[in-house]
Amino acid sequence: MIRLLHTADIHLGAKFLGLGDKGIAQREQVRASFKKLVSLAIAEAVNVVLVAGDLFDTNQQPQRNIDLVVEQFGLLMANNIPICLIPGTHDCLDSGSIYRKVKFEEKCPGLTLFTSEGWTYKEFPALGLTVYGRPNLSNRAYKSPLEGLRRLTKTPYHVAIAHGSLNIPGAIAEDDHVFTADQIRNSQMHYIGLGHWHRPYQCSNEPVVAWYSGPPELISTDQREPGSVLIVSILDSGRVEVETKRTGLRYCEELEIDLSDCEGLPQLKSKIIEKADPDLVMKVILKRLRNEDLVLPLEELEAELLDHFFYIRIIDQSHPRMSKLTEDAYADRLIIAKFIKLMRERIEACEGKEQEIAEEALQYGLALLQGKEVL
Amino acid sequence: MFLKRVRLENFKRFKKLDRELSPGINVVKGPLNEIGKSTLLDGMVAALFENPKSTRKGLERYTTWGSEHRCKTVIEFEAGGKRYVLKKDFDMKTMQLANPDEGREWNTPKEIAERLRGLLGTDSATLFLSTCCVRQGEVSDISSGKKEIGEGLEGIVTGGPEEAIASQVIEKLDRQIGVLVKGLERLTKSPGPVARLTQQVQKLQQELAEVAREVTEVEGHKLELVEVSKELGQVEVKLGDAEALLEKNRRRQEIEERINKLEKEYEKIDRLIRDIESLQKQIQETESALQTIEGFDDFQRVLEFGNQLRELEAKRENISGDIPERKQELESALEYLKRNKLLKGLASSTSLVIGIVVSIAGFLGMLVNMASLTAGVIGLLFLLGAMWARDSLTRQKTRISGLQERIRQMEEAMREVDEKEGAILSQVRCASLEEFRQKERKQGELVKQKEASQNQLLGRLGGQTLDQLEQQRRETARMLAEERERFTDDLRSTKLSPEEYVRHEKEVESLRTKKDELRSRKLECEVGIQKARFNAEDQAQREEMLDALMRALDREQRRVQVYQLARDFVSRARAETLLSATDVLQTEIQRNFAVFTNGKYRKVKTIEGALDFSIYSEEKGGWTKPEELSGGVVDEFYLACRLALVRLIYGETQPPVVLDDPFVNFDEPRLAQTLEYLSQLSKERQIIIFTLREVYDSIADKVIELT
Repeated sequence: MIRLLHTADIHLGAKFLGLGDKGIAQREQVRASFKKLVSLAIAEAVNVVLVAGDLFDTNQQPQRNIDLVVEQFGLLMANNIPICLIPGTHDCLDSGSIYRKVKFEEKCPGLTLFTSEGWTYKEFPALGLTVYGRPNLSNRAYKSPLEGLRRLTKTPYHVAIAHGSLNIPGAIAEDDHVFTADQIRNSQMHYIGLGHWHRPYQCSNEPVVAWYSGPPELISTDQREPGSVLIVSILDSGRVEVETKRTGLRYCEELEIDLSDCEGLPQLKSKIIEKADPDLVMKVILKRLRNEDLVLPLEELEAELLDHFFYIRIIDQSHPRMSKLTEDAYADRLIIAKFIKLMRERIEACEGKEQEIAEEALQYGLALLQGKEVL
Repeated sequence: MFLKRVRLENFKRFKKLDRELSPGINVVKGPLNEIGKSTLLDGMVAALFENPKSTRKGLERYTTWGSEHRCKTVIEFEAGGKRYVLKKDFDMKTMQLANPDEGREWNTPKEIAERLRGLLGTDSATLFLSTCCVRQGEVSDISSGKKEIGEGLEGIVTGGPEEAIASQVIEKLDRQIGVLVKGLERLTKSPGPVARLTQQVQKLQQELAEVAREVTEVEGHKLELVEVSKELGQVEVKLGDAEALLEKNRRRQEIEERINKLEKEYEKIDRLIRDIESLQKQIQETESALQTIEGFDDFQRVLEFGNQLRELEAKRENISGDIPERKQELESALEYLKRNKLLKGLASSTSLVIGIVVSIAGFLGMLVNMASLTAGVIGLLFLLGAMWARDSLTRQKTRISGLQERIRQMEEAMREVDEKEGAILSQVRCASLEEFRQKERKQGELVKQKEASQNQLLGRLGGQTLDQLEQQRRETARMLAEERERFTDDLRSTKLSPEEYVRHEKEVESLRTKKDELRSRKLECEVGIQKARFNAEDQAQREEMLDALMRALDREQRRVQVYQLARDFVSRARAETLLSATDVLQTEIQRNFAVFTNGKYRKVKTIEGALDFSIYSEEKGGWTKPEELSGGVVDEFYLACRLALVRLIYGETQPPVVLDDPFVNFDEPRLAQTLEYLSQLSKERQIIIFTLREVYDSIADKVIELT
């Protein structure tokens, strides 16, 4: 039996816009998860580690990330675990590629870095295994990363690594290194380790098993699960079994709160705090209609709730319950009634961000005219 | 609209209260403070406006202390000629508005509120209290100057609680906007959040640009370093090959030269040795030849003999050459003597005496005759001649004897020479000098030859022995063999022509220059990378910080926009409302005020769009501010404004007016006027007066006692 650890999209050095000053901590966590996957590979005694692209987030990296990769690959080699790696889309093999600046294969004996334009392979005679790889030469391309993939040796088992998008008509851009299910099927491989999508996903089963491994740690806010890697077992019969192993610490969640059920801020806060988790990046979206006197100090709210999460962002997509705010609520000779009328006209006359600002202005003006301290 | 009945159960102090009211003036009296007048008012307000389903904690305060159940209220009222009953159970959280006459019911807070707005003019307790209720404290605030009339009225017209005045709301918003945008237009020590964030963003953007620039530069250096290192490697290899080729050529050349040199040396030594051997042989032969010359075995002796013989021969030659000359001389001299008799005669003693005598005589004769001088002179001359002749003769004789002696000696010497010569010749076994000479010549030639050979030999040997030279030859042969061995096929095959060699040298020079340039570039790149202050991590951090700052700035700017919009629209609403209200207000206030002041003040002017009034004072002969009039007049004016506002705000709905003994400071005449006004007013709307006093009884349509 051959055991492989398949990972991709580690994105060392990734920026975390939207996490504010927590970006540094998350970048460190990405490094920690990379070390964790190496420890896992050693603990699981895998035969080969496959990295299907985007080991680095960009082709410009601080020296410490390069040193980390060299050190960790060295650990794998010290445990007789070779590595097969392809440049992806973020660390593509263009003229400024990190792989041109640093001679990883010289620094890491046991690393096979696929840099030739066509399909090349690395044979592991003791395992009866051939691993195929082809680099991505640019961030975007119309060419399929699986095009022309065929067996080139006579080993019993064949595995490939590639970086791109499974074609979903209408959903995937044509220049996103798109490949098709047919290309998977016709590849003659036992297993294809894929990278580019940021979650584990099985693209294909028999006769060719193909999976996205997803990243080993949270790198984007659409990741609902903590990061993981895949342990792939190729049985003697050629059958392939895939198991997911968690390596990541943090994850994201999106919480929609219907403000029409919320009487006030305390209730809103308690709904959010129910999900408290120090490793959670929480995105709260406030929706539907809120009481017209419910003023939402988003920044203060985020600051107050930050201790309960790794990071929290609150987005207000709700609207004040305008139906209550009819001019009839107040005698029309009153300033407040006139204010409501004028603001409603303004709100109806504009849209998008302007409308949101007008709605908020209505709320503030109304609250102030009602004697509330909202400033 | 007027209230007909109020029923309260478990409402504050009232376990049960049931009172009926009538249209017109209702006076609610109690002999003491704290009797429940305010509680009744609260009950009426709760019965009209509170929502039993609300979870607001303030509702708790309505429940009678100690009661297990919350309050219940029922209020009956008539509006638009129709009867309504509004029931609220705060315990069961139910409410119902019914129109029994028409059999209509409304059970939800929303429906009931809507109906109330239509019937009462508002569904807001706050608004009702701030418009329809005139409290004692409020009036005293105006008369004491705690509050301006305009301020007080604007609070009502605003529509919120009394303290929410539109102009103050505008000021608050302006202040808050000011705080937010402080420092945007002018630099300040403590800028507001927008300016502060803008500055931070600008600073961070500059920093980020610098960091990005440096990171790009460093990455460029890294790439360049890789390329330069690669090119350097290639150049070093090429240079190595070229230098190796030149080196091979140089070595080949050196080896060739050494081989040539060694070959020449070998040849030279070999030739030398052969010469030496030849010379040695020659010398040997010469020696052998010398040995064959009889009597000449001792060369040194022979040399001496030869020298002696040569000396003797020379001597003989001298003598034999000299003897004839001497003999000739002698002959000549003798002949001379023989022939020169004069001389002899002159030289005789007789001549001498003659000479002397003549000269003396002559000179003595001078004493007598000068002519004897001649004789003297002649005598002298003769003397001198005789002396000369004598001398000459003497010399001649001496010479002759000398010559004779010499000849004798020479002959003697000749004999000696012959003798010596004979002795020597016998020693060297030569019969004759000629033989000696021949032998000597031969020997000399042989010796010369030998010497020459020996000299040549010495010269050839040059201070060395033949063994040494042979050793040298062997050594040279060995070195030659070594050099030949070093002259491999590889070296042989790398031969370059002179032109090619020069060309290669130029190429090497060019490659060395290129290598130096590349090394220098490599060093520059390495230094550039080493000295970098920032890396991609620093750039990422700054981008994240900038993103956070931009979002914060966006929020603050949005907040400013929201406040500005709210401010603008509140301001506009205020202006429009006041603008539309001023005419109506002015008329109404003027009418009310004239009544309250018994016609003393009939003219009131309002500033358009503002609640700012002037009253015409006949006394003062001009327009004056209300605050400049007496306290009681100010109260009256305020009440006139409040009542005018109620009419303005509520229009047709005409809710009841609740007066909490506001005229307590009025003097009698004024109070009488006011009561008259209220009587008139009561014809169009219900008035409820809360009081401790009896003064209103006269105008009351109903007196409600609270005991």
